[in-house]
Parts: sequence; C-alpha cells; structure tokens
Amino acid sequence: MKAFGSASMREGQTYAIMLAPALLALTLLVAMPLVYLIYLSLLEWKLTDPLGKTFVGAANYVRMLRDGDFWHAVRVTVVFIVGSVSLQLAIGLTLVEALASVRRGAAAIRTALLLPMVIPPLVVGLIWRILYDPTAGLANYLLGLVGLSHPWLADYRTALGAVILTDVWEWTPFVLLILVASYAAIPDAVNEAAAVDGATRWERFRFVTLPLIRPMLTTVAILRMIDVIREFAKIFVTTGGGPGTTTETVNMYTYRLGFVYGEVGYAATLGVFMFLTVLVLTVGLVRLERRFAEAR
Amino acid sequence: MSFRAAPLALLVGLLLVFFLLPLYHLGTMSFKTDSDTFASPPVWLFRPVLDHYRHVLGGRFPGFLANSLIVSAGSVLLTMLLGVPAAFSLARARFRGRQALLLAILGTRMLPPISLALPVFLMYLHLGLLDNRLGLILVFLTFNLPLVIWLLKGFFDEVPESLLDAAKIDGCSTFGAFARVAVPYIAPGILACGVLAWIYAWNEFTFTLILGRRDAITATVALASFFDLEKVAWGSIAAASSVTMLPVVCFSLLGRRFLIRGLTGGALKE
Repeated sequence: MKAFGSASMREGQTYAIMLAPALLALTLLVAMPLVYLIYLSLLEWKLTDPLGKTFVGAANYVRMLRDGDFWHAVRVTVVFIVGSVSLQLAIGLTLVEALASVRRGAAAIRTALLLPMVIPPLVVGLIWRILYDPTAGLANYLLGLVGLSHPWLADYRTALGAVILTDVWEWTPFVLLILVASYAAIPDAVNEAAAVDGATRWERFRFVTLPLIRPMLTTVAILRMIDVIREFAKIFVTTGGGPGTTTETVNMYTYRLGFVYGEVGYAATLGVFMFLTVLVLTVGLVRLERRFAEAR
Repeated sequence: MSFRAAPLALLVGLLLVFFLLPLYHLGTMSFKTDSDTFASPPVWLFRPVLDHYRHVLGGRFPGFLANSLIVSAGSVLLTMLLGVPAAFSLARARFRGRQALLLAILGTRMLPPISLALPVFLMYLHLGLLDNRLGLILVFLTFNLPLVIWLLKGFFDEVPESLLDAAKIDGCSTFGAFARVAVPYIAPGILACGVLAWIYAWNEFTFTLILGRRDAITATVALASFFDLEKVAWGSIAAASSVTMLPVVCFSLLGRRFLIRGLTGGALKE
C-alpha cells in the first residue's frame, strides 16, 4: 500500500515538472503583464510629460466613460461585429447546401476556400487595398462597368463597409466549412422524415436544420466576435482607422493612444476594457460548449 | 435532378471566383509590367516579367524574410518544447483547479494582443528586448503556447489508458510512457500543431509592429511599410506579398483537415 502511494506521488511529481515550465512562461508573459496593465491603468502617465507618472486611481476609467472618441470607437466596433458576422452567417447559410451537394472536386474546393484565412491578415488587407485602388484596382474596374467606380476606402461613407468586406472575404470560408461539417452531422433520416411530412424547404430549414445547427452557429458567432475585437492588421493597412476616425475600432484607438500619443495610462485603461470584454465572451463560449455537451 | 444541379454549380462557381480572384489578381500583378498593371480594361493575357521579384529580392526584403523564418522557427521550437509535456500533464493529471487552469489557458489564447503589447513593451524597454528577435519569439508564446496546449491535450486524451499502463508494467517511468508511447502515438497531431503554430507566428503583425521597431521586423511588418514610400510601387508590393504568403499556402495544402480544427482554437471539433 505504501509502495503504491509513493509511486503515485512520484507520478504526480512528474506531471508537475512537465507542466511547470509552460505555466512559468505564461505567468511571466501573460499574468504579470496583465497585472502591470491594470496598475498602468491607474496612472496618469504620458511618455511626453517630463513630470512622469502620478497615481490617479480610477480617474482614467471616469475619463473613458466620458470620452466621445471612445464611444465612437465602441460604435465602430459594434457595427463591424454586426456587419461582418451577420454577412458571414448569411452567406454561409445560403451557400452551404450548394457546397455540400458538390461531389466531384469537393476536396479541392475546400482547400481553395482555406486560402483566405491562412494567408497573413496583413496580405489580406493589402490585396483589398489594391482591389479598391481607383487606378490599379480590379474591383473598381469591374464596378466601373456598371457605373459604380468609387474611392471606397477614402470616402467616409463607404470606408467602414469596405473594410468589413475584407473581413467577410477572409472569414466566410471558415463559417462555410464549419457549416458544411455540421450539416453533414445531421442524420439523413431527419430530413427525410420532414420531407415525408410535407415540409417545404423553408420549413425544413426553420424547424429542422436550424435548431440542430444553432449551437454551432452560436459558437462560430462568438469566435468571430472575439476576432473582430482583436482585429488590427487589415484596418491598419487599408485605412489606418481613417478617413478621420470612421474606421477606428477600440483596438485601433488604443493603439493610437498608446503608441502614437504615448498616453500610457489611458491606453492601459482601454486595454483593460478590451481584456474584460473578451474574457466575458470566452467564459460565455465555454459555458455554452458545456451546456451543449451535456445536452448531447 | 439536373435542372437543380445547374444553378447550384453556378453558385459554387461564383463563390470560388469571389474567394480566388483577389488572390489571382495579386499573383498576376507581381508578374506584370507597370503599364500592364494600370491598363484599363485589365489585360488578362500578358508577357510575365520578373522585374518586381528581382527588385524586391535584391533589396532589404530578404533580410526581413530571414527574420520571419528565424522568429517563426524559434517560436515553434520553444512552443513545442514547453507545450507538448504540459499538454500531456493536463490530459493525465487530476488535481484541484484543473478546469479553471484549462479555462485560463483558453482565455489567454483569446486575449487582444494590444492589451499585452502595452505592458510587454515597457517591460522589454527595461530588459533590452525591444527590436530583438528573441523578444518576439518569447512574446509569440502568449498565443501559440495556449493554442498548442489546448489542441494537444485533446489528442493526448485520446491515447488509450491501457497502452500507457502496459508501458509502465514493462518498466517505463511516467515520463518514459510519455516519451516512448504517447508522443509517437499522436505524432501526426503534434506535427500538424507545429505547422499551425508556425503559420500563426509567420503571419503575426501586431506584436511585431510594436515590439520589433527597426531591425527585428518581419516580412509582414515590412510589407506594411511599402506604402510609406512616396510613389506606391504596386508591382513590388504584389511580389513581396506573394513571396510572403507562398510558404503558408504550401503548408495549408498539406494539412487542410487539421487546420479547420486548429483555426477554431480547438473550441470545436470538425
């Protein structure tokens, strides 16, 4: 009995030793910076200010709540999320049956669809900057044929929509591929039974398919929301947040404050805000996964 | 049935055009002379030239590509070295707070880079790690390590208990069972995880822009600065972009099935 106990203790030690280096790395590179970030958010600290830093408590948080630029950035982020995610889901749901019905060349098509999401996001931004360009852009030439040539990224009315489209291009294939997988998981018998009962295509979608794939849809939507909140490269290279601040998300605004204006304290406050937002979404995601796993 | 098949095929065709035409446009642009690039209507048939590649590869760009290579390879190595044993440990060990730890690791994967970049920038300033490739390799652990731990834990969960017990009866230690049985058992998964971590490191932009500064910048950040020039050199941008995305495209052709699972952060399984 004693020998058994010591053996399992040795096993526990081995597990601890195998886990420790990774945890140490994450403590030093994630946990410590996050604590430091919270501390920074309590300071009044401009890198350009010779007086250095002063402890101001929650003053930066009060400033955030009263900052019109911040609320503008929140609005831009929300529009980006709603526009991008709903377009992706809509296109995905429209095309999934067509894609699932493909027999010949299915593997090749799926591989091709993978490309937009694996190439560097910065290159995605570059590709679209080229496409939108009034002189060299293919998009503008094609749109020009129907009289719609337009400086999409330079006009404040169309810039946000144009940037959202780059995100739709990059991530709709992801939504599509997940949907194809969840459609494949629906037993044929379910659809056949509905057809026998005389359900129309819309009814079959609304009352049979949709309830079955809703868990997957919700998960995908949350994942995409988190990605949009973190989005940086594509906005940076297409508009840089402009014209003016029309495409400036909270992420871009935080970058401008911290690394262009050197407002360390206030930028840290926005960093905390973003961290908390993503944390809430992640916890929601995990709760959801768990609930669906139990229901299964 | 065939009267329905035609519109469906057309729909799939349109889908492919929308997702592939932009890539085709970039690729062909890199082989076009400037006069062909700006021709309106666009020329679909043209005599390909290598001028842009010669120009891009003759300048500073190969140095940035080398940075990308060093940083991404270093990141994958360090990530796997720390992540593989940690994932095994989390799959096998039972201890209080394990669920909370797993959740924290997943949460780390989702963190906005900018929230970390600000404090890390100030820490690196003191440590002399700004504009340093080692600094980038270390900070890339913040997204790659959680990803690899999370994905590989899933793989290690699937290793049959009996296999590991048999190894121990044969005289293997716990670590021996890990190294000689579990790791070979999931070797394809480990390889695929490595490729995925490599892609994320190669594609990274935010951290590199902020922490890389001047000498340690990678290809993606160098690409963004092409627009700072007075006259936008479209051909060079297209050529440099093509070179930068080529290795990623090759790798993703190899590991398609796994990538879908990996790109979702392991939160869903295909």
